[in-house]
Amino acid sequence: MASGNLPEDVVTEILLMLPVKSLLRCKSICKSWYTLITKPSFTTAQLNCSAALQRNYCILLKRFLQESNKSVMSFLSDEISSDDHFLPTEITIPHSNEFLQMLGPCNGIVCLTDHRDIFLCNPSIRDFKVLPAPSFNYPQGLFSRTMGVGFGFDSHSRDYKVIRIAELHEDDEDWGYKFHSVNVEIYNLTTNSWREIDAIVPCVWFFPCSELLFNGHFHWWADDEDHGGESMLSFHISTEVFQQIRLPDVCAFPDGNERAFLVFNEAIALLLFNPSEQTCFDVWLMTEYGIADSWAKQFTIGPLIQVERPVFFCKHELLMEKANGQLVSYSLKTQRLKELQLYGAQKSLRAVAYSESLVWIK
Amino acid sequence: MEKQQTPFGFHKLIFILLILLSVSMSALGRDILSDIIELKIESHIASGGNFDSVTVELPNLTGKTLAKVIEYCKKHEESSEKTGELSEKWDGEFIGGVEVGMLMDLFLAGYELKIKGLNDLAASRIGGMMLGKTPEEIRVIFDIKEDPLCKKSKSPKEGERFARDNPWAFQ
Repeated sequence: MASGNLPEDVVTEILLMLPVKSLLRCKSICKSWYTLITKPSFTTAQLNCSAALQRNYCILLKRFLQESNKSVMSFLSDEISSDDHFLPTEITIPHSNEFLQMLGPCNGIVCLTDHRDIFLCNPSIRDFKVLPAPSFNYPQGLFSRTMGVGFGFDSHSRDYKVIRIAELHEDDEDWGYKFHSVNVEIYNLTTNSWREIDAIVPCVWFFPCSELLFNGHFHWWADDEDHGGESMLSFHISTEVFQQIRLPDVCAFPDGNERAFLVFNEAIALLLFNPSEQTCFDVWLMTEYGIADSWAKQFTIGPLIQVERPVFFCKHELLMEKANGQLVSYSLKTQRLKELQLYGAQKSLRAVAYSESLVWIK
Repeated sequence: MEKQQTPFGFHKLIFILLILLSVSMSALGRDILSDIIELKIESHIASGGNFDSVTVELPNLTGKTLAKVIEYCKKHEESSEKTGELSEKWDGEFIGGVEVGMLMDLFLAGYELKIKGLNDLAASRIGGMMLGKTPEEIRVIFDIKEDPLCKKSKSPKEGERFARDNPWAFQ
C-alpha cells in the first residue's frame, strides 16, 4: 500500500507517539508534515496525549556548573537511581547566574529567575524569552526589591502569568533603606506587559525550595501577622486572589531551620531541616489542600551525613543535595542513600516533574 | 476506502464485501470474512446502531494483511477469555516480526476497522522505528517522495533553516 499520501489524522496519530525532539526533526520531512506539526491544534493534541498517557514524563533538573560558570538543565529519567551510567544532555541557560529559581512547569514551560531578571523557557524545544523589566512609576524616593516570583498558566484566559511580589523601600539616613510597602505586579505573556494589582499581602521570604506551583495556585513562604507565626501565601493563577494558609505551630522563625515546599503524594509537603554535618528532615504534609489544620507530621528522614537539603520527591525516593553539590537519592523504602554522578554548585540544584511540549513562547 | 450502506442481511453484506475485497480473495478463507463481518456488526450494535442498516467501511487491504489482522483479533479474544489480560510479549513479537510495509498496512487496518489495540500497537512500533532516524530514512519508511515543488515553497526552507539553527535536534 502506498503510504506517501496517508490521511492527515493517520499521520497525526503516529506523530503523537514521538518525543518532541523527533517531531522537530520531522518538520523537514515534507511540506504536509511541516504544516501538521506547526499547527496549534497539533501542539494541543501533543500536550493532551502526553498528559493522558503520562508519556515523556521525566525530571527536569537545573544546576549551576562552577567550572564552566553557567546554569544548565537536563532531562532525567524518573527511574534515575536505577541507571548507573547515565550522562544527560546539558542545555545551557543563556544569561544566567548561580542562584536561579526554576518555577512551574506549565505546558512544558518553566520560569527561571534570579529575582532580578526573569525569563521563560521551554527546554524541550529550547525556546527562551527574556521578560521585559517591570517599569512602574513608584512614588518619589521609593525603590523596589523582588521578594518573590511566581508563575502559572491561567486556563480560563489561556495565558501565562508571572507574579512579582516586590517590597518598596525608601532611603533612610540611619539604616540605608526602610520598608515602605509590598507591591504585587503581574506579567501577562499575551500582552507582554506588566500591571499592578491591588492586594494586601504579607512579607514573603525565600529559601531555595520555598516557591511552589501546585493545584492552580502559586505559593510562597510568608509572615502570618494575624497569628504571629508563619504561613504559606497562595495565589490563584486564574482569579488572582491571595490566601494565607497557616503553617504548623512548630514553625517559629528564626528557629534555625530552613523550610522547603515540595510535592509528595499529590499534596504539599513542608520539610523542616537545619543544614549541618548530620541533618534531620521533618516531613509534614498538608493532607487537605488549603486547610491549615490538616498539616500532619509524617516522618523524619535522617540524620544523614553531609546531606544538606531536599530537592524533589520522585516516586518512592527523595532527591537531595549534598554539601559538595552532589545529587543523591534517598529511598523512602530502604532508607538508603545512593550517590548520583551529577554535581552542581551548592544550593543551585532544582528539579520539577516535566512533560515535553511543543509550545512556543510567543 | 469505500462506503456502502445496505439493509441488514448477511448475504447481501457478504456480496458487497466480496466486491470490496477483490484483492487476493483466494488467500482468504470464508471464516476470516465472516469474522470481519461479525466484528463490524458487533461494533455497530455496540455503538448503539439499529438493525435496519449497517454501514460497512472497508479499507483496501490485501489478503495477507487481513490474515494478520484476524490473527491479532483471535489471539486477543482468546487471551481475554482465558486470563482476562493480554500478553504484552505476544504483542511485541507479533508486531516486531513484520516488515515496514506490512506494519504500515496493519496500522491502517487497525485505524479503519477501529481495532484500537492493533492501531496503537502499530503506531507505537512505527514511532519507535522513527527514533534516531534521519529525515531521509523516515521518508523511505513512509514512501514520501521529496516534492520538487517544495523547494520553491516556504515550508521546507523553514525546515532547513530550523535544521541549521537547531543542530541539537538532529544529533
